[in-house]
Amino acid sequence: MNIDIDHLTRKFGRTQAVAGVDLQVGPGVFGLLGPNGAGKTSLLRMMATVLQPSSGSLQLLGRDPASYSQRREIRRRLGYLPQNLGYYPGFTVVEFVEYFALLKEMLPAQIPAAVAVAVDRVELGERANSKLRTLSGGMLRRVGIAQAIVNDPELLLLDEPTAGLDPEQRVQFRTVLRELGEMATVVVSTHLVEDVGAACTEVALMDRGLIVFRGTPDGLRERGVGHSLGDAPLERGYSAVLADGRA
Amino acid sequence: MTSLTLPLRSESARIRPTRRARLLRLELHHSTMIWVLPLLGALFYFDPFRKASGYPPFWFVRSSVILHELVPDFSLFAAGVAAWTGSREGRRQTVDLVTIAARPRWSTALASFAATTIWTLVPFLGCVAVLYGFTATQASWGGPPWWPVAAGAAVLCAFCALGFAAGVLLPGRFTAPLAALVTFLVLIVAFRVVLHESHPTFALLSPMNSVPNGDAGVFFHYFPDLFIVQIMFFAGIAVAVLGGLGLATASGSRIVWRTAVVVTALGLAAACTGVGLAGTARMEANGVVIPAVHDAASDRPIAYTPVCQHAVIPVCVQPAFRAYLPDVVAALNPLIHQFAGLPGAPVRVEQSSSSTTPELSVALSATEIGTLVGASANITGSPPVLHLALPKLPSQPEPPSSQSLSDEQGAFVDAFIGPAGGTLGDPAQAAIEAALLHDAGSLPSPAAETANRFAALAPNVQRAWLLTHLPALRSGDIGLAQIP
Repeated sequence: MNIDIDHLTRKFGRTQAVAGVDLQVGPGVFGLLGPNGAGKTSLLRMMATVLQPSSGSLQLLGRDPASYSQRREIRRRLGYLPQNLGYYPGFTVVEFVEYFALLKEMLPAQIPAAVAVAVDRVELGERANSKLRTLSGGMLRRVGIAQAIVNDPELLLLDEPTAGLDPEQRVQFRTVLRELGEMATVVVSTHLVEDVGAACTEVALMDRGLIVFRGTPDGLRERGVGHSLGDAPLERGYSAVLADGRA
Repeated sequence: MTSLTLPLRSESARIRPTRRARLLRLELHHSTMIWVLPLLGALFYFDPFRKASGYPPFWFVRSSVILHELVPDFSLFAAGVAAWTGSREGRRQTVDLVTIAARPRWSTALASFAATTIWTLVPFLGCVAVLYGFTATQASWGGPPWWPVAAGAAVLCAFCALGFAAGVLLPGRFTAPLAALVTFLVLIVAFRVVLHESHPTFALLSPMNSVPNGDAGVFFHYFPDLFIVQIMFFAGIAVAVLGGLGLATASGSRIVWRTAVVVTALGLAAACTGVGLAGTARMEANGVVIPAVHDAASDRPIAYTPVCQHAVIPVCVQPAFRAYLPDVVAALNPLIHQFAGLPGAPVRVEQSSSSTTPELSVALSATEIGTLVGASANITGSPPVLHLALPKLPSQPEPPSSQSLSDEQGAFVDAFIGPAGGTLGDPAQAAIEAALLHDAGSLPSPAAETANRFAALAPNVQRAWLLTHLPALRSGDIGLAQIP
């Protein structure tokens, strides 16, 4: 398992953001669904080694992120797209991706080619030398994805990756996700259930800091049979699971 | 997918740059300091350069603007821009991305710091080059002093480090202006006011406290003691602050933490040593002496061959003052003519160091921000030689006919009329001096009337009177009523 989580919790003051999550994830694209405030981002940030858990254990790529040396090894193999992507307006697309390739300690000789591939994958080849301040929100999101995948990560964590992308770009991005999922573990946190249905092999639904559903997108669809809330089968499944959990 | 044709720089280069070099190159390319360079250039021209242009073309006098003007001007911007750069991750919300990178955050931060510091030092050194280049076209002797440049660079590094650390630890839009403001307060208030008044010796550490005399570094080596201690102090602060930044961002790395502890300790040790050494400083005739770092060899006078002009008597100056020699001769000639043949009249004029002239050997306050002190002279030896100090000169030599060297004329008359090794205190001496210099305006009423009366006499009558009464006048045995 590339992700092995055992009763993981995270508190912010009195607020319990993650309230005891158990999760094992192998290669493939894994969707993390849930309403706002369910704890998806906190769980993802713990997986990204940004946050330390309050309790429980977390193993990533067979390593313990609590140990600095192992955490550094994890980080070399990690790609992360935060929900709110910060960027440096004066950098060009290539420079920004190169900057994070350097921070990920990629071999200098590999960096130019890896940057070119990553930028190409997110369809920004023609804007490679544009300053980030001149890009639209959707393009910036793709720059964020490019920096996340530049090191060919074994573990890729994407928080709302399709926010701001137009429908065509979302379809293309799902293709990229599926390609990446063939070689790595990709965790996609999103509230867009159609992304999960199209790209994910597995899905977990979080609510109030807990995982209330774990299965395949088809399994989630089945849970929605007979449930009236929602326009699509996956949405009905999503609503049904949340309603059952809260009941 | 579209095909990508990116300019993959250095791909074909034989020697590929390291990660550190690539990171530094990116940071250098995007440093905010680049945008401030035109402002720094204008500031340099209108403040330090113009001030230096007003000083005589002697290396040490001109170089004093480096620490006095250039470094304070640059420090404000260096601290502000460094704070802005340091706060970048916080302002731009990239902390998560930088934090989860395999590269230690300290290392990443040091690359940003290095770029800002390089962009601060490059224009600083450029301004120094312009200043020294300009001085080289005018100076007739000596070479550029490098200790002030090294001390200035250390000060700038320290303020860059302080500003950068403030930006990293307290990111925000107001961190940069606050850092500049605090730098201003440290330089102006802390050093110049608080420390100057409460601990004057420690105020020596201020970069703005060491203006040399006009002839500093000409007759004697200008002591590097204070510069060495300033470098220790400010470089120590820079290193300690950067080490502290490592401690704050170590995030569990023992190697980073241990390295940061060592770096911090080294920096603190250097800074504390600098403070301790500054406490042992004493002001001597040729500058500030700090015994622990003082090189006795620098106490020896600098050998030189004087440049002389033979008028009535030979008038000789140090080669650095070559351009002023016609001025000096023009100013002294009337007096030399008048005194020729009188008892004790000099047969030669030699320039001496202002610091070895008896009346100036009393040490100036070490922290005095005053500039060039006035002229002085004495007559010693047999045959008598006039030793004249020329510490205060205009920026450019004047035409020989001008009377711009009236201080030197006064010093000559002082030395000739007054008691040996002393100053004029007797009303009769003052009246005769005023009469000879045609300057009775500053004297009280009876002495002024006597001076005007004596000045109205024919030169041969004045000379005859001086010939018979000069010894008595020098010993203070002549009253105002005895002067014709």
